[in-house]
This record gives sequence, structure tokens and C-alpha cells, in this order.
Amino acid sequence: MNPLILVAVFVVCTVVGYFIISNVPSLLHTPLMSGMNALSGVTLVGALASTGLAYGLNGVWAQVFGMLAIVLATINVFGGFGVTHRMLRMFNKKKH
Amino acid sequence: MTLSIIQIVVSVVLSVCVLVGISMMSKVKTAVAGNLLSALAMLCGVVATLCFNDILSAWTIYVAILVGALIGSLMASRAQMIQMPQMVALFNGLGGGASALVGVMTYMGWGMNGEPEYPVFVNFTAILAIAVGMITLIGSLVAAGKLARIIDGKPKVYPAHSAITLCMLVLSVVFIVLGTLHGNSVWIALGAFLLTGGFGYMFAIRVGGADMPITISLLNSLSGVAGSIAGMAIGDIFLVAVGGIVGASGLLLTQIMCRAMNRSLLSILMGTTRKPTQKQPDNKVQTDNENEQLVKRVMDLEKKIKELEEIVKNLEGRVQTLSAQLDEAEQQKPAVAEEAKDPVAEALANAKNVIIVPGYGMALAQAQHQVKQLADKLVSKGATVRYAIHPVAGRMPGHMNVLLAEADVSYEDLYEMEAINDDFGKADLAIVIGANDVLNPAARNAEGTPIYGMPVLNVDQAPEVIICNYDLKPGYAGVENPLYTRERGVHLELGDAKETLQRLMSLF
Repeated sequence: MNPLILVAVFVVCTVVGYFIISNVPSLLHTPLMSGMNALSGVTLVGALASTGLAYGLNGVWAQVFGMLAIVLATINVFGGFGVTHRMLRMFNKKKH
Repeated sequence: MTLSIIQIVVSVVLSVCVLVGISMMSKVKTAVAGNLLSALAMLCGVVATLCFNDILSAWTIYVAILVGALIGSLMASRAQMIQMPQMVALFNGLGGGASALVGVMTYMGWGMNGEPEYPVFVNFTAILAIAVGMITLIGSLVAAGKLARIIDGKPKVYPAHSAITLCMLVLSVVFIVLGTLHGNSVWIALGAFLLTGGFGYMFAIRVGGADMPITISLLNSLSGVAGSIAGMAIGDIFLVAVGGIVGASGLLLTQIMCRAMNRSLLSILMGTTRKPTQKQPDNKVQTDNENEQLVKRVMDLEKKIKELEEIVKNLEGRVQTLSAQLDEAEQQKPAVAEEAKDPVAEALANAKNVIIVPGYGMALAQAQHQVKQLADKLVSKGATVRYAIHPVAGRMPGHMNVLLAEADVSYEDLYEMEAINDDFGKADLAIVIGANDVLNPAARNAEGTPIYGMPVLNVDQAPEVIICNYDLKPGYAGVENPLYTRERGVHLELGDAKETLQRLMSLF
């Protein structure tokens, strides 16, 4: 992948992300932050690709590092989304 | 070639899904769906990665995913709402750690088919991913430890702290440069790993409790950036995109909070204004800045005059209401006889317009349900009850909102500081539960203290104030609260907030 494309994608997403968040009420800051936090576990995708590609190619250490990376990222993803979901459901309880 | 085009299209579509999900999280009604949409996009991203890279047959992947999913789900379902700040910090750190490991693997050339097309770029981004990931990991672990009270929450400053931190930073940069030039070196990877981890420790250990929300938000942003950089290293557009989104939005949240506390990000990271500097200024400085200081003094005096005018106005209003009350009381004298009434009970019974100010103490005492009960009782007696939420009350942004939501308080009753601050003067009663710094009037004029200039809730303008704090000690900022010693209309109810609130409820 051409580095220029990657950097361009980064810049565009940064700008778009910045503007999307700017109108979130402070009421939702905690769920938003924990949602973001879950999303930062997206590095799972990278861990999967690296580990999978190294499988059968780079020996045991690569798999150990890779599996550790996957475990950490998956905890981040599952924990993050789970916690966020629980929090948001509380906000949405029906008022009487 | 066609495969890579499909790959790009899928990545873009999924990234847009994530963006839509996040923007849906800005409204309460759509927030749950938004969160699920983001999660779904992530799941698709994972499946797509497995397919595109043709790695479905690597069994190690599934074992690791299973273990991680199990631990993560368990932690998420067991966590109490009060533990949210440290949970978020912990998860966040793990994500950063994963990015650092991806960086290590890419840097070592593991999982690469042959020579990369752009070796310098790959080396640079890989080692940078190690650096940012490690700072996130260690910084977050320290933050989580502080929040969970595993390590002392106070800012800790080692001898020559700044110098050591700076040294580590410079050395880290050296290692990043070295790593960019020479790929595949265990020693460089290890050096960068340790140095940046040390840097993360040094910067996080220096931040104290009240600044934690901002630190966590910053670390959150960093973990996104780390993921994004790792994505650049392995050439994954989806990862770059989502990491970038998280990084930018985390930064924005950080900015919003800094503004709310009237502090610059740098001063928080340097831990500079945390120690109260009430000592006399240097003589030298004084002579240098005499003119400036005079001007400042005049301005201060003007400000004070204005404040005094306001106080006089308030007093006039109060005299009027008091004399009216006196008249009334005189008329009713025979009926009431000589029942000596508890002023707190009276304040509660007579209040028609109540504002509740929750703080971290409410979270500590787990008293949000009692707060809700008290509010319900007040409402049943015909009062309107609103909640005033300071932007940095608690230990993470929106902390109070989550806790109150847990106790079934409708989010429509929660008001941000700007929306409610002018109403304290009009309210009959303000009830403070476990909050101190965010309503300390000293912030307006106690120059040189850590909270000077921080916008605070105007609790002092309320005619009657009930303060349910654990003790009279100054808050985290270490500045005495003049409200505690106000002679009229302030009622202190010290002790555990749960018990205090129970008592208050039995009073009227």
C-alpha cells in the first residue's frame, strides 16, 4: 500500500472525526469515551493480519507475540463495547 | 489487483459505518444503536481481514480471540458503574499494548511476505507504533491503578523528574530514528519498548486525581493514534481510518475538558499548577512587573466592587423576603407556638426550587440512589428538582451523568454548568453531595491557587445550601472553601453521604 494513501486516509479521518464529535453533549461524554475506547481496539485487525501471515512462516515467537496482541485487543474490544452498551442502556430506561 | 480494490472499497464502507455509529452516539435516543453499529462494523472488519489475507487456517488466531473475548466480556459484565473510569483506562491501555505488539511484529519482519515495498516507511511506522502504544499501555495502567486506589492517587514527583522524563523522550526519539534506518533489530525494538514505557510511567505518575479525566481522555486519543500508526505499518486502510477517528475525537474531548477546567494540556502533563503556590512572589519579579501588577490590582478592585454590588443587591432582596417572612410569621405566631424547628428541615420543607450538585463524593459513597430518593420526596412535596453537573465533576467526563442514570434520574433533569449557573440565585435551596472544588467560590478570586480561574457552579448564590460532604477538608485542589464558614444559610451535614441523605429524608 502506498504510504501517501495511508497518510491521506489518516488525515481525512482525523478531520472528519473531529467535526463529528464537536456537538456531543457532555451528558454522553462517558459512554462516548468508552465507545471510542472500544473502537481503539480496532488494532485487533492488525494483530490478526500480522499473526495470521506469520503463521507457519516465522516460528514460535511470532505466534506468541501475535496471540498476546490478539488477546489484549480482543479484551479491549469486548470489554469496551460491553461496558458502553451497559451504560447506554441505563440512559435509555423508560421514564414514567 | 481486483482484490485490493475490493479491499479498499470494503474498508471505506466499514469506516463510514463506524463514523455513522459515532455520530449516532451523540444523541441519547440513537446511542445504543450507534454503539452496536460500530461493533458490527468492527466484526465485519475482522472477518474481512481474515478473508483478504487468506489466513482463515491459522488456528492460533481463534484460540487468542476466544481467550480475549471471554476475559473482556467477563470484565464488562462484572464492572460496577463506579469502576467505569478505571475500566475504561485499563481497556484503553490494553488496546495500546496490542498496537505496540503489532509494531514489534512488523518491525521484526514477522508476517511479511518478502521485502516490503517501502522499507523505510514500514520501519518508521512500526517503531512509532511501538512507542505510542507503549506510552498508552503504561500510562493507562498507571492511571487505572491510581483510580482503583491500587497506587497512591496523589501526583508523585521524583527528584529531577522533568530532566529524567525529557531524557527518556529524547532517547526514545533517537531509537525511533535508529529503528527507521535499521529494520529488524531486536535491541532497537527492545530499547524503544522500554524507553517509551518508562516515559509513559513518568508522565502518568505525575498526574493527580482531579486531572485524571483529562489524562484518560488523552490516553484514549493516543491509543487510537497508536492503532492508526500500526495500520500504516501493515498497510491496512480500515485500521488507519478508525484509529484516526478515535485519535481526533479523543483529542477534542480532551480539549473540551481542558477548557472546562481553564487549564492548558501542557500544565496538566507537567503537573505544574497542582501544588498551591500561595507564597510571596520573588522580589525581582515584583520590581520588574510593578506596573503590570498595579494595572491588575485596579482591575481586580473593579471586579471586587462589581461583586460587592451584586452581593448588596442580593442582600436587599433577602431583606425584603425576610421581612415578608417575619410579617407572616408574626401573623401565624399563635399557631406555631414555640416549636423550635431544625433549620435544615425547614429549608427542605419550604424549598420549591431545588438544585442538586453531585460530586465525586457521591460516587465514592455510592449514594446516587439515595440522592434520587431525596429528589423524589422533594418532588412529591411540590418542588422542582434539577441537577447541576460541572463538566469535570467526578473522575471522568460525564461520570455524574452515568451514575445518576444508574439511579433512574431522567437525563432531562441534568443540566450542564452553563445552562443552570444563572439559576442558583433564583433557587430556594442547593443541595451539595460530595462536591467541593467545583463549587468553591475561591476559584474566582484566590489568585495563585490551583483552581484559580476555573469556572465553578454558583452554589454560593443560593439562599440556602445543604452540604453533605464527608468532612470539611479542602478538596483535591487543596484550597479551603469559604462556603463552609458562611454564617447564614449554609448547613453542613458531615459523614457518609448515604446515611446523611437518609437522615435528611426523615426530616420532612
